[in-house]
Amino acid sequence: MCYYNSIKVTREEYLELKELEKVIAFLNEDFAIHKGFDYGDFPVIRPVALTHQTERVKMQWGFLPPSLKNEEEIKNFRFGYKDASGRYIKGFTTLNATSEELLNKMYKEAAKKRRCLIPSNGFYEWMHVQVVGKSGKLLKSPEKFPYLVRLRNEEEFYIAGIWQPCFLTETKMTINTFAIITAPANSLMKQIHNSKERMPTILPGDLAEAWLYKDLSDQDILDIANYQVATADMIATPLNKDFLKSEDPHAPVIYKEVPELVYV
Amino acid sequence: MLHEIVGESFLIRLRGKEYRCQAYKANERMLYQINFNGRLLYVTRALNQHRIPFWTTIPQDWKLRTVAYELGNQIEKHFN
Repeated sequence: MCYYNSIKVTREEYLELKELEKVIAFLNEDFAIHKGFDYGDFPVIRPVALTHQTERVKMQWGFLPPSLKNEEEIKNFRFGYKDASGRYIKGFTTLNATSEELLNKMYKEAAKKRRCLIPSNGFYEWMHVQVVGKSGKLLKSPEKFPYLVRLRNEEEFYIAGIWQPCFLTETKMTINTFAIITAPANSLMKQIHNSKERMPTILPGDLAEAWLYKDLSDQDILDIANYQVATADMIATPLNKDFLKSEDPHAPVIYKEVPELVYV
Repeated sequence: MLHEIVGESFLIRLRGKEYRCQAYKANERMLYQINFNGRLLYVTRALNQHRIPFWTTIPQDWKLRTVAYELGNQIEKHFN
């Protein structure tokens, strides 16, 4: 006899339920909405060494430098900490690596040796809009309106990434982590992600292949990392502000406060 | 990994709220995907050692045993 959810079941039933867990892991990949600041696992495509093939593996979103030794150091690196003198040392946000900083110290080796692709069906960005309050005056803080951004003609597309194994010497465990590459925003993303004017580097087939397999020069790496998918190939839909809790998170919403997007 | 969507999605009610549910057939068993407060929850009807049915989340989550029981009852109510 075995226990499933603390209820005694036969071994056959237990094995069937465990098989169902595998189906769900598969289903979840299709439906999942991944939030960067959860630092969760995410499917990533990387080349298989010495072959022209790829494998889809799960890695933790949030690039970690290889020098970290334990969970405590990871926590300090990501969320900051107070040093011995009580001074607050700010943490690093490494979910995204900007194309401009890709050949800088922390990301350089990964950009040269460990490039990957992150499969996606769409991503979310928030437009910041100054709105008028009940008093008739502009509110101090802008309101944030979420958008789902997809490609018009591609159900799945690939975002350039870099990955890094982090070997924790204390537990002797390796955590594979990755960062998404971001480029300056195109004209559509400038309207949506108007606070930072950045967008993920979405690669068409030939550049995706080069990113994975080719022995790229520094300039090639920067050129591909800076690639901007054309505005005309993208489509953005405004979503409910609480879309993550909605029954249908991708149901489009019309906001009268938000200017209409221009696709040129 | 074999799975197929079975029929149209439907709504079930629990504690005054409505949740959308989609049936799947996976490995010859029925699996129900429920959009539960922003997360996807999966439940199935399993059999205990005495072959008495009970509803469980997949994967197992002890904290959701009651929710699985209540959602399962609502699914049965929908089909009856």
